[in-house]
Amino acid sequence: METLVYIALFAPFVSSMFAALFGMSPRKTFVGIVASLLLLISFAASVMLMMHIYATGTGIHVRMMDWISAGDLSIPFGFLVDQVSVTMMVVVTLVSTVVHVYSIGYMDHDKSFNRFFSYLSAFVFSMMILVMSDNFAGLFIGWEGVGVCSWLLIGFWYHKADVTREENPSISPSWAANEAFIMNRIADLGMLVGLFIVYWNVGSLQYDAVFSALPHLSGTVLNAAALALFIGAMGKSAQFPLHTWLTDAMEGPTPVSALIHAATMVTAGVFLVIRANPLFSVTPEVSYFIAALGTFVAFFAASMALVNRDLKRIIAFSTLSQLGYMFAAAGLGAYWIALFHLAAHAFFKALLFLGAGNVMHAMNDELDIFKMGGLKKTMKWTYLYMGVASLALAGIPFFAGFFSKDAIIETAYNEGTLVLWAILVVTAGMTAFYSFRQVFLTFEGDERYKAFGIHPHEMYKFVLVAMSPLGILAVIAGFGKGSFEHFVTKLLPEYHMSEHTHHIAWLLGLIVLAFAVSGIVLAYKKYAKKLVRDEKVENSFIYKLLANQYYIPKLYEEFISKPYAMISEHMWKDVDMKIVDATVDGIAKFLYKSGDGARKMQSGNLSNYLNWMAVGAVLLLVVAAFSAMLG
Amino acid sequence: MLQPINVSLESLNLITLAPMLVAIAGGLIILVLDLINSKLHKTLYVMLTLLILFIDFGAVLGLNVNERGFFDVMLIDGVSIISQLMIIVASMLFIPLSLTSKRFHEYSYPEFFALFLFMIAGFQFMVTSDNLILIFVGLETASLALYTLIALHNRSNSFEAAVKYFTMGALSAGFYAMGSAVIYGLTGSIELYKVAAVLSLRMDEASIMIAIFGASVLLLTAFAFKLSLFPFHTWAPDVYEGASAPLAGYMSVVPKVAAFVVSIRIFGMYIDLGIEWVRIIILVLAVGTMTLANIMALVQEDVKRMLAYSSISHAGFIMAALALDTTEGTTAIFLYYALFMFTNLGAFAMLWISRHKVRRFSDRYDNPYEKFAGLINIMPMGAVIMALFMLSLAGVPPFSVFWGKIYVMQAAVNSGYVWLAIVMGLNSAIAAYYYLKLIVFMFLKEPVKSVDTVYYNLSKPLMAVIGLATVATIGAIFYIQPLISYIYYMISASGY
Amino acid sequence: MYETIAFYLFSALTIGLFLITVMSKNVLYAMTSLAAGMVLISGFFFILGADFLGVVQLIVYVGAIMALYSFAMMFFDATRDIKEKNTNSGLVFLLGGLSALVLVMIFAAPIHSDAVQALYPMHEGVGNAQDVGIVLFTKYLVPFEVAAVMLLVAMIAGIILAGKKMDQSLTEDASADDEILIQKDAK
Repeated sequence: METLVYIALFAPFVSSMFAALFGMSPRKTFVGIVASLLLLISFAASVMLMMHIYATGTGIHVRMMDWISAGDLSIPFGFLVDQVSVTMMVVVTLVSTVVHVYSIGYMDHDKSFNRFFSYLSAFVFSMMILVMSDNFAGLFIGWEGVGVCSWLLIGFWYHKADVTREENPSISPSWAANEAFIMNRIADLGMLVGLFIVYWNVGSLQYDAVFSALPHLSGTVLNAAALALFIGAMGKSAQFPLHTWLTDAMEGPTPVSALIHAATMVTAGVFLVIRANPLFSVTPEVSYFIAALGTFVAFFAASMALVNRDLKRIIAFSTLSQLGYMFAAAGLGAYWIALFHLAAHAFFKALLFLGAGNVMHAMNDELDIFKMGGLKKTMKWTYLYMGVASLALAGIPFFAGFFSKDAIIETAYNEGTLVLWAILVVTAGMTAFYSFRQVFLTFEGDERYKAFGIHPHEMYKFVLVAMSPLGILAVIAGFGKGSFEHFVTKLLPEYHMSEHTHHIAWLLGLIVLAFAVSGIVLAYKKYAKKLVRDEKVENSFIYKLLANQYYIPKLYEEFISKPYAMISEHMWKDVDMKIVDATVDGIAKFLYKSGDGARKMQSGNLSNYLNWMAVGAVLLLVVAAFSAMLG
Repeated sequence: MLQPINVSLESLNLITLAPMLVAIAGGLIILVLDLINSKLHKTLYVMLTLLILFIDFGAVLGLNVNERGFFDVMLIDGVSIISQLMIIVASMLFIPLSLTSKRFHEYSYPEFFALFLFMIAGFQFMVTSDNLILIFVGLETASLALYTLIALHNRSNSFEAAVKYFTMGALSAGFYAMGSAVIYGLTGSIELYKVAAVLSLRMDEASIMIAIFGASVLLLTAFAFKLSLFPFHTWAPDVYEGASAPLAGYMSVVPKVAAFVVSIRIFGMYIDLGIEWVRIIILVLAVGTMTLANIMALVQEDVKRMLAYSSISHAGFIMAALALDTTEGTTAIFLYYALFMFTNLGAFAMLWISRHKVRRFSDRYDNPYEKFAGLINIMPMGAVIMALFMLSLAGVPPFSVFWGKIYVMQAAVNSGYVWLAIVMGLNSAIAAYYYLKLIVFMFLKEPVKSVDTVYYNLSKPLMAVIGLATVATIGAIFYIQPLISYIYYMISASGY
Repeated sequence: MYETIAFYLFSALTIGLFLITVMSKNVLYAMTSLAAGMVLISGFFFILGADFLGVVQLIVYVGAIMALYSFAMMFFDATRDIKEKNTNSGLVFLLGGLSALVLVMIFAAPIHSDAVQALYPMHEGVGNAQDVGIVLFTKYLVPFEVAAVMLLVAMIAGIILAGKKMDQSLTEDASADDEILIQKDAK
């Protein structure tokens, strides 16, 4: 079994290194194929591990080597494959495999094809370290690795120039990459503080050691640690107020977006909360804060998605919203439901993104859904995939999202947090509306793209086939809910609905369904036939507010970036140039001068050199004599 | 009358001599082969030398720790085994560098390889004994061979370098002989363990202390010369410049490892005896060396000279660890050289790749910075690798030398020398400047001449060596822990 | 008594001769006085009863080294005065004087302390040569043999540096003359 663990972990690494070998050379299709195969191997190993754990019910703990052992700090490099991490591993490797295959088609014309695969696999490898590590240090390494890889990938088309915010809300790929990286750095600081608090008080970073020491810690320490760790999670999972990077990250190639949203990055925050559930379950205040923030983000993101015109951004907002759901569940103590939603969401969100990629590919990278429409004729399969994924996202019965999202909403009711419940229900309706608004605007109605002279075409066959596992899972994943619960609750705390909730579960479900269906119907009525733009609505304050993302990016720019730039400039001109620089220059000049002086010693004359040796010997004697007398 | 002498063969423990005998026999075989057939291809000698080094390596690995042999003249302890292994590994890295696309002058002599093997044997004798006479003879054997190897590069400045090195080496040998004579005169012995025993009984006699004082200063002068410590370093830049690039890289590691082993034995003994001022003068030497060499490296216009000063500065860095005289400090010496070896040899090998006969970029220097301007455009891989070596030498994590530096500093702090660690940190900061200067030249400047000519001396074996050095430089993080524990074990087993 | 007189006589003469060696600007004078000084040093060994070492001193220094020097001198114009490039002769004197003083102090210091115990004392009634021989071929066999290797190294070094084609470049490769290969752009 141990070998399987290593295979699952290192296959992506090998893949990355292999692709990196060809990083500089021109596009070679076999690089993509080998990378995909290695990912497939990793997936197969993960599935076998999952079956093993399902059968035996015990996790596998391997210890690879002692990584740092300096004084009292001892950090073994170990891996833990248990119910939670194996679930993540299967989800991550499955989605990544599909994304790899997809990229062979999608990045077909890109010069840096090989480099792309190298980054992509490195991204997966970092995420695997993150989920498989048996200690917080390893998790943090994976965490940073994911950050670096996301920076590389979002900025993959770094050569694109910066434009104004009006033209492109995310300015340029490299700007977006930097934004994502910096936002994450801010959050990582929180995470690091959390790790220090844990280490300071427990003396270890091993999960089992930390969790078994929790009862001995004071409430303040626990709250501080939980809060600090959650700040880290907020960055990676793009929770308010650190959410802006997620939509701007759409600047990266679409397969990257699929990977970030479904498998390798944003789920890391949720994973952290689930992994550290013993800590969060003893800090109810922090947990409630998480639930409330999650609910708020769910609604907040959904509202922005309502009016957005950018195909990928809408999906990005929906991810944000669904992450909110997951945090709500985790905050309310239903960790296994959060994990379940994470898995189910990964499937249909990856599918949605890959579908969006198909559309982009067909539309020459056009993303404005107002310029699309009627694509169903040419892109049947993509329509089917995106339709299924949207149904799942909207929570229509018997699709994957229905089971997981309903469970979350039910949990909110069960906990008696009716306000949260109500918001989540409304959000479910909004979700249905915006996802179908996008589907209908893209695939139904009049063919607006003709005005722009675009000739759409369907994606390659093998890409469509590669997407099919996701499509199937988006439909059927929900039916595994029972066995999934049975599987993961061996490790995660069980969560039961109360008797009362159980009785009215059908009613609750019906209410959600009603909201969802009415959302879809509304979207159909408004957008399926034809795009009618309503000037009055579009000029209304709320519409503008939503379309500009509550002016938050602008706010950040005005109140954080610009003052920061001003202070920086001031510091540079006045403090740095006049004081620091002058000092440094002075030192450098001094060093240079003394270097020049010392160069005289190096005359090249042998007699001089011999003299120097004698001088040295005498000097040594003098120094020795002095120190002997003084000492 | 004299009694007949009976010595049993087992008591001689002849196995302790095996590694050196392998090297000497190898050298003789090469000489004889050349006599039999002088038309043999020179690659054969390279391979033969490598093979002999492999056998030598095996012979060293086969030794048991803490044994004495041959009337207690030979001393096999952990320090000697580690240092022999390092000497042989460095030699194995060095020898394939002769297989360049142009076979340079010196490599057409079979004597080059024979002398090389004798030199290794000399170093091995030097490190496997605590008998001052054997150390002296080993040292002189190795030095004589080394002077010749330098001169064989057959350029006017190689001769100049060899003569300078030879003359100054002779003076330092004189210092050494004087120092040993004083020690013999004081204690009646030239074997360090007996010297220590005698000294520890007579520590309170003032006149003895004066003599010890003088003897230690004389010996320190001799070794400071070998280790190129300030102000005895003046030979180093000229000699490095005159020697071929691989030999310069080799010289900055192997002779110094051997000299450090002897210094550990001699001065470690003094410090152990509680003679505190030995520690102080070593510290003064160390700090002076690392600082002044760094400052002088700043103003160099030639990359090879810069690297020469940088290896002087590194030697000062390591000398400071010697003053600590703790197990950790001694471990740091070997760890540092083990890591430094790959990076430094790699950097010099990169210079070797760009060896020209004609000075095309400057009248005075062979490798001015301008030569490397815009290397990234001409030879991207080479530029990246060179930059890696520079970063490693500058002590940027996670490359190899960083771990050495951090370990030395840790050892300093653990022995209570916080100020020393701070001085080391400051020096690393200064050093970063001149390493980065080369990187700036390679990456940010335009090529000086618009000729698309570079890198004439490249060949497969060279690439293999550089590749190995690169892997060792980058991958340090993976092997550093086992390496530290191995060295630490060996050092503590031999009681240092 | 005679020994004391001989000692002081030899000392004075040795110092005088070596002073000439250092001060003289003429190489021939310097060499001759050096040889004479070496001969006188062997006198100390004889006085001390180390006749073997005395003979060795004579053979090695006077016989071998001085002969080598004189052969080497034949290649130069030995009558010409040497011009040293020493700009600061005061410094040289100071350093030389200081070093000498220090050495004398160091060697003189143990005289005041207890007698030193020799680890390999001479045997009564046995010749000096035998005693040296026993130590040399038992305890010091290894250094002795290594010294042999050292001499071999010196010999080889001398032969190749002086003799074997060092006046021509043996660097292989036709392009080595201009050392520039135009590297064709791989792209």
